[in-house]
Amino acid sequence: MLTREQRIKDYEYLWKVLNSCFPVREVMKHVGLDWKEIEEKCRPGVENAADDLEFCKAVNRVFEEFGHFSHSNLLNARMFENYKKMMNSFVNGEMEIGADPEGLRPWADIFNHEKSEQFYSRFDSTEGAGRDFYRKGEAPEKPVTAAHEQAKAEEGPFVYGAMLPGRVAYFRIPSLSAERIPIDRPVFFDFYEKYRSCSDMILDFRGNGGGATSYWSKLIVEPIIPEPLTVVSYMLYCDSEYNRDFVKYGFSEEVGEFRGEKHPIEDLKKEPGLPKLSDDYLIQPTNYYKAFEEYKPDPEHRFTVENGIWMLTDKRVYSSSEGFAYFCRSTGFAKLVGETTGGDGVGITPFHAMLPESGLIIRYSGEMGLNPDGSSNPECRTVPDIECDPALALAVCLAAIAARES
Amino acid sequence: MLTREQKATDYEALFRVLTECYPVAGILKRRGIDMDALKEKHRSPVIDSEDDLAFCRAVQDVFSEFKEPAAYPDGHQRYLSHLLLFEPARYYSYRKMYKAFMDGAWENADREAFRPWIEALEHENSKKFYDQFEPETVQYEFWYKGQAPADSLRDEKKDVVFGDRSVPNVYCRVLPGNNLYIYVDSLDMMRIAGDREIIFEFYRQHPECDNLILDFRRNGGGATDYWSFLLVGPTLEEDLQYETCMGFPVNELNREYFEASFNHGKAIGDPDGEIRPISELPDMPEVHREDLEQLTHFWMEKNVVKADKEHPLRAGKIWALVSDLVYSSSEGFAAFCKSTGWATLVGSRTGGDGIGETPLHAVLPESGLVMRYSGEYGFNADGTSNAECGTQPDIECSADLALAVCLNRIYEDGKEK
Repeated sequence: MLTREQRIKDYEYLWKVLNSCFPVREVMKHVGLDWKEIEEKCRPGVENAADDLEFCKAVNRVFEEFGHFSHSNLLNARMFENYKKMMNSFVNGEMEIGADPEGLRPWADIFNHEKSEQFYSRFDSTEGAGRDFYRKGEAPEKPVTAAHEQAKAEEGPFVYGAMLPGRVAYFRIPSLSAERIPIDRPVFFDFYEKYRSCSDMILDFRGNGGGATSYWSKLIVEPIIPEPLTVVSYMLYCDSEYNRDFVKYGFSEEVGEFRGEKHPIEDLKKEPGLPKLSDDYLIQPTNYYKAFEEYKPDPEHRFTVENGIWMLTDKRVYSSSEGFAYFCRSTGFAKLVGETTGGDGVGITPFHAMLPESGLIIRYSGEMGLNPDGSSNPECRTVPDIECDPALALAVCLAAIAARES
Repeated sequence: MLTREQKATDYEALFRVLTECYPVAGILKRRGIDMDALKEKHRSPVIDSEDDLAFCRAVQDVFSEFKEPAAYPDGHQRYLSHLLLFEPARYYSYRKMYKAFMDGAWENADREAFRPWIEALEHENSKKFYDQFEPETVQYEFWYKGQAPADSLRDEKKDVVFGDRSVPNVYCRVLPGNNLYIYVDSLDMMRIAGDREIIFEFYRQHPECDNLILDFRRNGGGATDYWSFLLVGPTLEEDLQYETCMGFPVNELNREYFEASFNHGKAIGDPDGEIRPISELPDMPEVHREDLEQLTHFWMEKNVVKADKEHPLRAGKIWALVSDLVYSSSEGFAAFCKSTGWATLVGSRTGGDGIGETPLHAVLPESGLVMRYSGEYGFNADGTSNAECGTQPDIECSADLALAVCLNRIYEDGKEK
């Protein structure tokens, strides 16, 4: 069992990491979350924890107070196992990532510490654990999913593609999970081959919480764009001893997810076209990465959209699904219809850090991405071109298409 | 404050209604709910409750045993076969609503028919008892006046049943191809008059279409008049008749009601009445024999939807999108579509309990707490319970895909022509 001193040491380490690596401290103040207050509020729980389980719950509370802002989590045993498996399978080339697997080396390395392995092995890692901590065998049973959830899960291809009246191509894409790419790919490519073209295309991302960027770049964007496309984005980060490997690999010209350039934060104000850039954004980060995402037409799987492309959104659009919203907005690839998204989609795979005494692992977005207008993406998210009740988004979008046609 | 004896009397009265008037014994059995065990389990918490507030909450725990797993976006909770204990917010909201009905807010409705419902709500004991509690709480909560925490107080603008009436209830648009789409959020009886203007104007602008799509996926009910007058009538060349079959247990608690409502005021057994003994129930293949044990009689209701030739809509084909949230008179609509073939249903199996009359009110005699339940057991055409099984769509798919699936079918059908 951890001693009181060890628990305090871990807690202090946690805040050192957050303050020196998690670049959204000032932005979180805008949404009413003050780190100093949260640090003080959660400290007694950590100091007075009766055992390691209570300690985990007390640390977890910090992230609950954060509202899991910008991908921030304390991994529990279930998440630890899942991430460990996933990161190792990326690095070993067992799962497609669409980028150089070597770029994720620090992500895999952090999961292979004996300390974490030992500590997490004492807790329940079954599905029922959700985001919480339980002693082995004490997590509740996985709740019975509602019948339609079940049906959805058993539907085979996750994605649904159909041609609608007016030659409107419709795709419902509920997840960008990397595991689904090989399964869902034929749904897109067979559809493209069968129809070759459409008048409009609707990409229904409602409920899509993210996954892998390569899902949308390879299956949707590259078959459609006629010319290569480069998207510029700005990611503000902290250069610190606590995230050094992640910064080195993640924002790397050679193996990172995006090509780009590192700049000191002071230079950001000199970048053109960022009218909503706030001075607050520049307080905590030390640098920014000016990323260049490149998309090349896929010559083998072509699909022509004659008029417009539309993305349906709701507040659950997050992470790499939000990355697609950003892509649509900054390139004009698609118009957005629905509800303001959940945000935090401009960046690379979230970073991790290990608390030295326990081996507990945290996760957080290592950068704060900017919207095309310079506002903070995790804070301001993406406001659709046509805002509506998300439950009506498909009808609203189709009505907009019909109105244009008439 | 209620005495222990008064609470015991109410507890017996509650279970008398639940066992003798609420015709779901067979469904409960299949769901593994044993009424005797329930009665035993909740007796002490109810009778030994420390004050009136604790009593109400303990009674509500009994009702919670009948919850159904439907997830409405506004947190609305559904209980089997319209069962509900009126919490103060709903009690006052229903009183206000029935008073408005009596004043003519539900146009074309027979005002006198509302009398038994409002009488239950205006029972002297009820008025006195509910007066102790905070009237503007969120759904399902009981608090003494002045003691409700801020997060238990409701935005007064929002009706506890139908939500914010300043938000549009219908959305009418033309979709690509000559296809019309109408989304109907609820069948709120108070909005019939306002929505009629919107819907009839839409028909006037688009009097003919290849397809009409009615989106009921989030529609939890309201009034049958809404869909029969505003949606179905205008599409008809002539009146459309259809029958619905419902069973019920007749006893001294409810005999008068059934005779007045279903039997032209005639005594049950009178050959000129319409109520028949359950032994004469027509053959239906999937009837649960065990469910009939609780039912003594049935009524074959003859319904007519009148053709509205003043606001005509010529629709080539009609589709209705449904989900498990479709319930009550919205379910009545789904059941109507299925049995008459007026519309093709697309989506997931519906929530049910749409075959039957307005749910009944009962007052617990000592406290005055008011409860509600469906007094009838509605039969689907195959004999299954509508409350238990809902309606199976003609084209089954995940409800969130229903519009796309429907439009894809229209696209494919159009290609064949």
